[in-house]
Amino acid sequence: MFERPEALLLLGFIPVWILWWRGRRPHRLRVGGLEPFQQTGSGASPRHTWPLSLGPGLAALLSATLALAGPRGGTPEPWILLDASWSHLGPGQGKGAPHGNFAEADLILGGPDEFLDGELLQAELLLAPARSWIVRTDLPAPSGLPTHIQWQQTPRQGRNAAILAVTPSPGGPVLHWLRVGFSGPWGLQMDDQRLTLPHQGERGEFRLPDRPFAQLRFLQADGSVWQDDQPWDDAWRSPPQLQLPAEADAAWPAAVRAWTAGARIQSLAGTPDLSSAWSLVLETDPFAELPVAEALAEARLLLEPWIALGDQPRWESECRPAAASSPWPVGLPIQTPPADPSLPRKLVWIALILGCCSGLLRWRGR
Amino acid sequence: MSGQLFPAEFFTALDRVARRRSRQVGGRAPVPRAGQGRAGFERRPWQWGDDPRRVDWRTSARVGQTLVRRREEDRGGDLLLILDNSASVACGSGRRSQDLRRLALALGWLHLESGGQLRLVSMGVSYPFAGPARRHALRSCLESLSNPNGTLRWDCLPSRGRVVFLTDPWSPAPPPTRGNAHMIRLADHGEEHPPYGELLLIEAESGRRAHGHSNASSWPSIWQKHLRQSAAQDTAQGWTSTLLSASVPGDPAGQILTQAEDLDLV
Repeated sequence: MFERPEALLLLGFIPVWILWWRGRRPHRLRVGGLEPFQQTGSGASPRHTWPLSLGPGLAALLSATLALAGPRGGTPEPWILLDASWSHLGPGQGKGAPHGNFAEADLILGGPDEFLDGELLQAELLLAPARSWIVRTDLPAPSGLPTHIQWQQTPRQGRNAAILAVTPSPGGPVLHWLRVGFSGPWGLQMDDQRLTLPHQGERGEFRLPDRPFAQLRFLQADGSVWQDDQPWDDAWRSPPQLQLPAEADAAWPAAVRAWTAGARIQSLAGTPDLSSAWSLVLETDPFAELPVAEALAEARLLLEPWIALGDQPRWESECRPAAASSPWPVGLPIQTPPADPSLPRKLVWIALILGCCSGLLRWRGR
Repeated sequence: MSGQLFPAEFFTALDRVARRRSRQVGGRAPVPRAGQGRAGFERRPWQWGDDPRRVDWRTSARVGQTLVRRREEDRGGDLLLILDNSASVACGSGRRSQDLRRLALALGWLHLESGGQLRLVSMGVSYPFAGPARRHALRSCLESLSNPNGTLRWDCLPSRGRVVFLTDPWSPAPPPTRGNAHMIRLADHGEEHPPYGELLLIEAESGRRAHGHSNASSWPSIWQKHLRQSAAQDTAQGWTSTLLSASVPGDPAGQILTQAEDLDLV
């Protein structure tokens, strides 16, 4: 609590001082006459009154003693690290959004389209080990966390019943599902229509009806009640990866970007990456075969599944239950944040001011 | 009493005052002038008709000729200087006693220089002086006075002539007097600014004790009220009262003369 607790022994002077004051003799003064002094309350024994200067004097001594002792109570204001990833703040809470969390944050990591894991958080904290931190995230706190890091975990709401992905297919979109820590029946809702999904196994595919739909909501069962934990149990497609022929028309990239935000366009001149279920390979270019208007309509038709699904893509990891963070690095010296250096200085100033007040009152005879 | 009572700087200031006075009276030097006032120091042979009481027998015997003392003009008049040397004068910083004596010497010096007669009264003892030659005797007399002690005493005041009473703000005004009576009270810096707080007060002359308290906020007004009351009592007794402040340690010895000069007391 104090860097030099032995300095607190000075507080023992307070009763000594009081006793000295109580026992001291008044100032002897030879005067030519007593009459003027009788108008100032002469005759009363001075030992029955407390001087006005005693209070500020004691407070000054107390402040000076505390300043010498070096209190550790005042630590610097902690920095706030905000996890702004989708899983923590949800959609529409990007950087700069008018959200109270951003106003007070000193450091913002992640974003609505970024994934943030515990290791990255730890790396950021290790960059300033001698600071006090408040971490606001949905990730669990690593074990062995230093005490000067305050970890405020906001638990993810709802359960992650499934990790879902929807890919276009000639027969209709295919929904890829993954059960994570959930058992029992579950289903999805396409606009107003509910569909029950198979509930065996941990992973599978489900072909959606081949008809346009405006909204795709995923539901999970909670007893007899179908309850949607959207968006916590939803996983949207990864950015579409469109591979175009080498001689594809220059209008393609603009059209694709206009229709599907975040799409990655790859030329077929390179090696096609077909590992992703979200890839669409165009071997022929409608723009090369059809007039521009018809080519645009054809392209739109090709991209319709992505356009219909809409919404911002996000990482699969964001949809999984938050895994336990790795423990705080063992052997790394834990640095205690230094005490606020301004506190003893403030106490010295307070002691000086109070001491001056006390001296002034004493000089004024109070 | 610390320091030299009449250092050279005091006489420098006194000389300055004397020169100013001589300029104001038209350059008349303080030399004896023939007149009918009092017996002077110059002598002449006895003439028929001279009053035998004017014969200077001792000088006549020495020179072997009957000589009489010439009469000089009596210009200075009589001055009675009452110097308070009671214990209350020493209260405060201790400079008041010195300044009272310096003021007494200045007043007496200038009066004797102008040819007047002076009677210095201190603690009931009277010391007469007459003529410029007695100025240094006055100085020696003031230097030989004992330190302030005892209680103020005064003789019956003369019914004519000039009276100057040099004292502190504590002494009561003497009995009513007629004529030119001037009361000069010197307040000490230690009285104007006493140590503030709880005090054990000891009255200097009576030895009475009392607990008191002074603080910076109320004491100045109380002290000023006391001074006004003293001045009012002086006036009621027929005195012209003037208040001066005694010098503080470190002030030049002639500082009190400067004050007195400003108030046209010297």
